[in-house]
Amino acid sequence: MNPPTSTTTEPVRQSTGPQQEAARVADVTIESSRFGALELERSQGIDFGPGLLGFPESGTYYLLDVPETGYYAWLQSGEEPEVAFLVTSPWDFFPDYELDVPDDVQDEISLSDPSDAEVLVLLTAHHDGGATALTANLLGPIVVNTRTRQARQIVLDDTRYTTRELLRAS
Amino acid sequence: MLVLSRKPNQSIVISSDIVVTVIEVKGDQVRLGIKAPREVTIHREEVAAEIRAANREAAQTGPGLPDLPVPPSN
Repeated sequence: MNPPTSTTTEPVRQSTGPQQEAARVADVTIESSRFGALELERSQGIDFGPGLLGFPESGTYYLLDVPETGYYAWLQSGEEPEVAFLVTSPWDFFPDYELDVPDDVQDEISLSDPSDAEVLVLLTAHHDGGATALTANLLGPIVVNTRTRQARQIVLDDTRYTTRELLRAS
Repeated sequence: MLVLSRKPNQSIVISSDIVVTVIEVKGDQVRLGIKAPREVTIHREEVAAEIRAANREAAQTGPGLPDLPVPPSN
């Protein structure tokens, strides 16, 4: 998830693995449907304002790295234990991906310095017989201000992209 | 549903702080200008519906996933 080219400086994520950093104090427990009980820090929550389209009840998400993959994380809802999204950074898989963060969204998440921005795309697993394909929603990316921990899903006005672009493996 | 007739450069006001103006009518297309407070989210209906459906489908994913693909090396 954090390739060498990433400019991300803030530790936006927590791990679903057993090794939490000792200095941190978990002060929120989520009985998640996917990962069981998650002991998290409220201060690590990301404020999604009105939430994602279709999920207005969830305004806070926690970013949990998928252990050992390096490219994937889960966005776990703080309000709805059964709501979580597998996400990745788009540029690892779609190097030519472009997006324009609208001014009003920049204002809403207090984004003034582009180096504070982290972009994530939601992934969907499609099961076809024994095979599973992952697609990425490039039309509705998520922009996180890693400094203020505010985020929004953007609806792009760009006909080049769809909500289900196949993730190509190496 | 309220139905109003407007001409180009005429507007409607919604709840005192949202103004929708007909900018241009050309064939079967209407170009609209919308002034609204920034906390008001505005989407084309069909695109918002598509993203909503995609989000709901994405939420069905996991946790039992096979090997996750590694990006092609550049």
